[in-house]
Amino acid sequence: MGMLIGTKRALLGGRRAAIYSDKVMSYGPIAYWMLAEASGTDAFCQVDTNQNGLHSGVTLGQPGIGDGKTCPLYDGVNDRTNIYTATFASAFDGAEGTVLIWGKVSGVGVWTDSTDRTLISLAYDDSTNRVRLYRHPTNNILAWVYEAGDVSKVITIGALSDIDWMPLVITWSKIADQMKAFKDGAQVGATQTSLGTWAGALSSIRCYAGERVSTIVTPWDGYLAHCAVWDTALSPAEILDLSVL
Amino acid sequence: MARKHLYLAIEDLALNATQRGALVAKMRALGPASDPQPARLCHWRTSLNGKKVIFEANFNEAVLTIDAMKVRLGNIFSVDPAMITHSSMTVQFVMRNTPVVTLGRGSTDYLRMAVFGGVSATWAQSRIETLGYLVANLAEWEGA
Repeated sequence: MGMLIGTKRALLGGRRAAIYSDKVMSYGPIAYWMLAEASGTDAFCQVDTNQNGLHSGVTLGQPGIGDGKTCPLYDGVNDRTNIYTATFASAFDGAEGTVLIWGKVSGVGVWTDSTDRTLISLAYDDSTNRVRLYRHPTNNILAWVYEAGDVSKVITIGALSDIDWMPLVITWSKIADQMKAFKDGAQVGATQTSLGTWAGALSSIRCYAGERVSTIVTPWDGYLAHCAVWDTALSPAEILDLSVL
Repeated sequence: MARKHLYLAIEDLALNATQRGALVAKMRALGPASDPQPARLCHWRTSLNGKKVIFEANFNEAVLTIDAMKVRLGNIFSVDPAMITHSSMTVQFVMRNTPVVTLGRGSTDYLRMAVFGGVSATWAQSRIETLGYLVANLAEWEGA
């Protein structure tokens, strides 16, 4: 029996794939934007074209993570990719989930420019119910944020100066009462517990790769690729597998 | 017509809301009608107080001149562009000079415009200057 690509947690999930994007799909995401377009403003969702996003201002066709795909450059000024659709908002689960995104700064100076820069944000609002990965305004720090029911869980790691690609993952599970952060396939920081209860639907102006809100206040300066979302908290072994080509 | 992919900023010094809206609408229409690269289509970012806008596009070089801005302001004020005055200066944010032009009428300054890195800059150079400007003025642009 062949592997059921695209189903929720494929029966043979996690089988090593020759193509990285096939591996991502084998884990059954609810949404997956490769961000590998060569031209145009559409950001195609590999799971459902009703979840296609919209590029604004990015420079497409840049060298990717090494899987043969290209990626966009986000200029740190006014670029972002809107990944909100009603279809995605309906599929998203604020209580159980995983977000994967590969990010790379445009240069080492990004770590020390004292600027808040978002890799990805999926939010109901700015403070009570959201998932966000970002370069903290304090230099050399990355932050993973899960807020549900106005209960905030934040994991940060510092002393960073990575200029290579970083596979970054956040998982959350109300059932297991755990929120975790991963970088380069390994968990970072402590597992957070005592999670709040997610309330509210994703906002159409607060779901972006490369920014956190439509008015542009925290634009990413660098490259982003392979943005995928699940409605379950993937295991550390699965995250490790997704963090390598 | 020659095109330049650059970043430029405008700052409202004394326009009223109607005038500002008309100017921003004209600025948003600059840049190519279509382009395979999203970066070259006109897109913008507004400061937190709404008085400054940074535009980026593959601009027709002709729209980047002082005279072109005077024509726009003249249309907004319904006056002869020759009635619009200007003064110029340069500012360096990182490594290139950014020309800054202040346009006025009578004794009032109405608009300031800057082309980051200058009109001869490459896109990469203009971007570096824009980033330098933003880092130096974070409180005006970065939300909490």
